[in-house]
Amino acid sequence: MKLSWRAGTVRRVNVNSLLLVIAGVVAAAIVACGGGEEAEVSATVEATAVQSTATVSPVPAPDLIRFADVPGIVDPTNFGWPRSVETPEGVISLTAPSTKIHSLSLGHSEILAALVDFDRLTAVYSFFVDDEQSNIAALSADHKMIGFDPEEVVALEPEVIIASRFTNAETVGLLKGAGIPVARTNLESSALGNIPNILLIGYMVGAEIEALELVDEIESRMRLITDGLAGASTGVGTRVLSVSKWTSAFAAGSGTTEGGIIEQAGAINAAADSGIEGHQQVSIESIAAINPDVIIVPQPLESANTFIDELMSSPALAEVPAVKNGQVFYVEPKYHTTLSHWNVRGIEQLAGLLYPSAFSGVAFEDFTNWGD
Amino acid sequence: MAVEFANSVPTGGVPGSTVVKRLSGGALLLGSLTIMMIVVASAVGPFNIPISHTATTLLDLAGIGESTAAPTEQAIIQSIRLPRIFLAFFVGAALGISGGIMQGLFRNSMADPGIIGVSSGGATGAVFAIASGASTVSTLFLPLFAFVGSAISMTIVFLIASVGGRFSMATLLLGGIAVSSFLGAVTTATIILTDDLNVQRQIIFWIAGGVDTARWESVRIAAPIIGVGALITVFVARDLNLLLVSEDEARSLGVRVTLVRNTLLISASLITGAAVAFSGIIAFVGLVVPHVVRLAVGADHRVLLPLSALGGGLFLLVADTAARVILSPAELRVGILTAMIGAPFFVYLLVRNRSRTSML
Repeated sequence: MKLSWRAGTVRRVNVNSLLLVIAGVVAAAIVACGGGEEAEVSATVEATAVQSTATVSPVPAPDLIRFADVPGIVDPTNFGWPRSVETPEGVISLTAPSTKIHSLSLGHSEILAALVDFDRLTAVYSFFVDDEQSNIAALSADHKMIGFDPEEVVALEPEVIIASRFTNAETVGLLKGAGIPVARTNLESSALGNIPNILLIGYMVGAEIEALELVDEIESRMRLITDGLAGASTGVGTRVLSVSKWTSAFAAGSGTTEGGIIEQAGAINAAADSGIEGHQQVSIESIAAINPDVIIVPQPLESANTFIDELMSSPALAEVPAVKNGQVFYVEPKYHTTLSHWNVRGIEQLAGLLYPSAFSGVAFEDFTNWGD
Repeated sequence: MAVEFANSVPTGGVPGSTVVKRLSGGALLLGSLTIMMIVVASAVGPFNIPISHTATTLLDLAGIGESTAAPTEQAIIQSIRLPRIFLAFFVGAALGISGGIMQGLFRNSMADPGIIGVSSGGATGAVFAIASGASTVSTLFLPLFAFVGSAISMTIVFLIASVGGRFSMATLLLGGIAVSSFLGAVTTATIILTDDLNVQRQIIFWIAGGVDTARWESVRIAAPIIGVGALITVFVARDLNLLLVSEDEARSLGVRVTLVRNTLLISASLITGAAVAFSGIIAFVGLVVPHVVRLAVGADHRVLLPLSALGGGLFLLVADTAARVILSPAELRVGILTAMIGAPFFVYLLVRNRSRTSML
């Protein structure tokens, strides 16, 4: 039997006609029920949406209630324009859906690619086209590419800039000083924990429906993983070490993207279990001390293979279960190292690797981007 | 400080018995501490190995008795800890003795082994190996390229200092600074301009310095270069003492000034190049260790240089052992620890010996 995560997700086709029907049903329900707190929010949402239909804002759907709990949305009842969001960079007001969005991080760009036409992104950076690290390499290949000089960003005249927590504060300060609204959203290493961020980004760029679709897809995929893990008879609790080698070896401990993926795939992050926080340098001896059941290597294939050969041939690791049992795997770094919804693919890939019998009938697929 | 440094340099006329006494006393102390540290460093690490197993494994390697350690424990001691211990010692020794030579030759206690561009050259060579992909072809290519980079850099600086047929130490120093700056810019530009994140990471981690990738192969290559270079410099240490009083006086006492100076510069550069090739850039050791040794035993290079080598080796061995165990099973970059251990200790010595320091 072939299962698919797509079951139960909302399709993008016929979205407009669907929304019209939904808007009517919502209005009727509000009148019939006479209110309540939730209904009041919906009513306001609808009123705003009706008002904004004359301009350019999207028509609301019932699930828009999910935006009510999203941190950063100043007025969760307002789905028209202008709208405001509050991030660590302060409150910014957006007058219309931006046609010129600039993302300073790969993770945010990957999320944006799922929500809006990629042409609405002003530019990409060189590493976006690396198909081993980036899930939007193909889209980025034909896109305008810029360097890291903030002046280049200003020259693009973006209407809004989205930064990550890793973005240099000076860069953000310069861009804000140039009068460009900057929002900084902190992406999470938990697939479900990231949902509020995706909704916030969707709200910012006027892609609420697409954001809800993406969230539905993430939840659906994660349910499939959870159900599969619940049915897995053996192997749950496997200690997995994620380690890469860049001249020296680095393990992914607690609070890392890779660590989050390991835990969400039903395993124990062996590095975190051994007390490692964040990405820390380790030696071959450290790996022997951590003694993992499985080792995953999320780095480009060529260097990963070299490192895997080193691990497999080290006499110091001969008795480590992962090496002894041949459980040392290359995993695609683009799913494991960039914070975005694509981490779910990393979770699926790892779960399939760790518990093959639980997911033997499942055909995991890549996420789609806007318009695919 | 430079003038004061020169004034304090002994003329080479210090009684031989005093030199032997200081040297043997210092060597005995540092040598004993080094041997103890080798045993300690062999016994500790992220992987818990009983001390008795470590001891029997070390004795077994020395041809005494048989190891009681499990195969994994033996493998960890023999193929991971010991090569790292010896590489740390040799790299530290190289940086210590090179620092002593450079501080002496330039009559400046702020001089370090990289002052004439050798470290920057090594870094550029390593960057070229990483960016071109050569480092993935063979594990020896990265140190080879780094060593060649150091040698080329040293040659360029020498040529600059020899322009017009007259060799000038001042031009050597300034040329070294210029070449270092230029090569530093090349390295930075490579990091910024490369599209490949992996290349960027490898370069940054290599530059950060460390001996965590040590293998016996590294030791077998680095040790003879460093050892021979160190021996050569020790043999001309007396001439260095005379040279520092004044070149004319040294000449009048029969010192072949140009030969001695070039021998010291080339030896120090090659030693540093070998160290940088296998460890990246580890700052502070070459600056602080000779300084501390000078505070302890004086500025006679016949004593200073060998003890700087031993002191540098011991210091880096201690720092690397600490780097391995402080965050175990994670590690610190050893360069971080050399600065964290060395800087406060250095300041303490400077303050405590303020009156003597002003003489150095």
